[in-house]
Amino acid sequence: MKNIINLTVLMLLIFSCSMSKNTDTNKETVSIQTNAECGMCKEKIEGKLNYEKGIVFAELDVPSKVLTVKYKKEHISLDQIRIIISELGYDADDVKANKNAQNNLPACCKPGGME
Amino acid sequence: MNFLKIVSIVAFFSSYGLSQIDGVVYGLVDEKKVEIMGAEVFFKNGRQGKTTCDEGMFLFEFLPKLPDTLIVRAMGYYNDTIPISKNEKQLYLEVVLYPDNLLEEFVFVQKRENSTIMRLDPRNVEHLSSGELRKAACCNLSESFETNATVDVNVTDGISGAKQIAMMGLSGVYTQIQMENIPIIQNLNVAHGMNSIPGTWIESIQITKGTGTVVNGYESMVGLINLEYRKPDELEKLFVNVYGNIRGRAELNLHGGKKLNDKWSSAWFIHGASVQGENDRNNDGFRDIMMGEDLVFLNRWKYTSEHFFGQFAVKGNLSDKYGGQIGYERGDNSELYGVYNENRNIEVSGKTGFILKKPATSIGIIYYAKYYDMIAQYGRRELRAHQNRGYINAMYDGIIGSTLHKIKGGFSFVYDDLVQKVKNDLPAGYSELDLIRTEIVPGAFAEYTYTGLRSTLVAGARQDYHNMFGWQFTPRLNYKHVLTEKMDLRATAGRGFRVSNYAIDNIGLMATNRPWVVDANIQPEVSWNFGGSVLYQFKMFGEKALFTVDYFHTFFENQLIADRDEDPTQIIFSNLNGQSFSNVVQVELRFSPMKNFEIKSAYKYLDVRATMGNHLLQKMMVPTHRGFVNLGYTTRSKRWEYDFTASVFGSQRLATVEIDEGILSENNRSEIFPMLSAQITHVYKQFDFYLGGENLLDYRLTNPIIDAQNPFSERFDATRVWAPILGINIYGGVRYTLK
Repeated sequence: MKNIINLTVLMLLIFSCSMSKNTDTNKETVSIQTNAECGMCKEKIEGKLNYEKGIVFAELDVPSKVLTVKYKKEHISLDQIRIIISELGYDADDVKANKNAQNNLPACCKPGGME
Repeated sequence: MNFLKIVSIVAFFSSYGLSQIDGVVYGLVDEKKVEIMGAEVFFKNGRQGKTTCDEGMFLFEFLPKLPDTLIVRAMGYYNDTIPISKNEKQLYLEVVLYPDNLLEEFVFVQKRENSTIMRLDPRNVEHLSSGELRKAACCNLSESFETNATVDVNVTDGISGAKQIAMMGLSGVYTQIQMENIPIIQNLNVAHGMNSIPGTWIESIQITKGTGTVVNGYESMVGLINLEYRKPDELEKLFVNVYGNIRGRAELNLHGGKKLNDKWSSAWFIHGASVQGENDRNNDGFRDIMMGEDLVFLNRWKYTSEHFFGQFAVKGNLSDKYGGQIGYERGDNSELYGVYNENRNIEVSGKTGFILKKPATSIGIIYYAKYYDMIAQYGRRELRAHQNRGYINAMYDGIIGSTLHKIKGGFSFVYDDLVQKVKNDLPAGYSELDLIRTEIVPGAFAEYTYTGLRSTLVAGARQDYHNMFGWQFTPRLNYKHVLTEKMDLRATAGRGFRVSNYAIDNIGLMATNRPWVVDANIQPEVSWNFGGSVLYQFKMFGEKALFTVDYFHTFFENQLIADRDEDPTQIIFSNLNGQSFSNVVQVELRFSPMKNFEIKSAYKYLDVRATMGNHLLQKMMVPTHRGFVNLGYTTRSKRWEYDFTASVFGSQRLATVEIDEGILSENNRSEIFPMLSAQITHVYKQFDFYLGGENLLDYRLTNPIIDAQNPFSERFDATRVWAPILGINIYGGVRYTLK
């Protein structure tokens, strides 16, 4: 029985570590308005940002086109994140999408593609 | 042609002046549109094709000469055709496909749901995707069910440690296992066939409770497990998986696929495993797991064009394993008790389909041939067996009037040549048992499906002529009723039939020195299965939740009984003389307390009994109560996956054994025991790393073998194994994917 308790505590610890709200001032969570249209864009943006150094997570809400990013300030800046999104072919707040990248997107991912 | 319709064609002029056609393919599931992944979209004349991505999207940047016809095709749906005129150079299409509702091929899997119950299917089908299969990274098919409550995994005996599955408290031999609708496990490979199906090759698994369909034969008695292997045209260039554990098992899995042109694609798969670690944690002088090597390879080809579809595969398997007393080597005939297993197997299979001009009709033919050769030696008891099997199944699939009424019909033919020879050199004397037979079974089947708005009925029957046992009539019925938007009711009934093999089906019973007494006139097994289920889908914590209850009753008209109760000093194989049945109730709840965190919990009550020695007794080694919880959490970046499973096994009835000279065991109930396993996966762009543990509480039997000091004595018995022998196991591995 003791084993069970020990193990449960251990598992809870692992879970809670990964889920705990980080109050660290080096980290910041921001919302970026994009013009991503669909689930394919979601995969493209999340698939890129989640593997960048300094990004804790990036999550796109498709209906509102808002990307939530949590990042470590010492490794990456908000402007750098916006540039990455722009280079993928999407607007990020005031940073307009890179035209070449945007032209290369599948039509459904282009502005108005899902309308 | 009302079922082939385009809900909307929205012309959309891109501001860049390129010529392109793109769009989304949806399927109609429960009156809702669901994106279809992997649908094929191609031009009839232009010989240009695309496969839709996860969100059902496709894109043609370069168009063939127009006008042309665009064909949209997905397995499980009716094809759709869209004429593209000369001027339509920029098009955005929304194509909605109608399901063909016959549902052998569930290709569309909703993203991120690792294990789903198929609401569309009239049968009770649970779908496990590759995401679910990643949760228990080791090693082959039998382990793939460890994060699932429907299928149980048991150890056959205390010396070989071989694993077998069970459904509804009944041995895995009553569950039909098929690879992409081709039955692959029958007769000899029921013993070790699972070992030759590596987990990394599997794309998804569908578990059907009940007898299922009549289309693939009469042998599914309580369940049907269909395996979808990874498809050549969707496969990564190269996949490498390396696995190792602290018990000395190492594994290498490789596969890769290539599209040769727009019609042909091919893939290769290799699995190698080796156990070199010597484990004897209970210090009884016997290895806890077998050592040795496994090698499995598969090469498959796929051909797709508008009217013709073909798949061909060759699979081979070599395995050599040895265990038993420490010091025993392969082929060693010394005074040591050794266990030796050798399997040599090659299978060739094919599938060809023709889509006929008449809408929604096709003809499909399945071919399968197998050669299997095996040796299983347990001390001075030896089984040598080989099997040649050929199988062909030709089926017409069409509609009557409209898609409300669908019909399938066809013929099948089985040739199975089987030799099993058992030599027993036991304290009770020397004996030989032979089971040699050739089965020739032509058969015909028909299945009718009615699809109404709320209810679906599948009624099927097959008539086979067995050269040894005469006519066999197999009726099966499945019914689904959608009570409300959130609730489904299902009912099923059907007959199953199989010819038993007392040696292979009970290979674990070779691990005792008690003599076998075999009835000279063993008849085939015949069962009836009835079941019903309720599924309720609702919202909990703002996320999707699912609650299911099902009840299944199976009874046998005849069954092969391995009776250990009438006389504890021998094992009597005979026909059923009395009753044999199973009642199973399973309650399951799945929900997400928060985003990316899923909890699956289940409870199962099993009442499995059979008449043994004139008494109706509970079946041995089946826990009456079984509980299960699985927690899965993925971080918001999707780069960490945590998985945790806890199972509880209730008390089981055990065989009465002679624990000491002349003294029979009195306590023949097992303890209640828990099993915990956990795994952590870290995902990089091309690499995944995982670390996991099984049996984390280190629960194990300290004394699994009776009279282990005297392995050639009358009392020696390693069959009373109701819990793990090995104890805790920690493993780790890497997956590499080159797209």
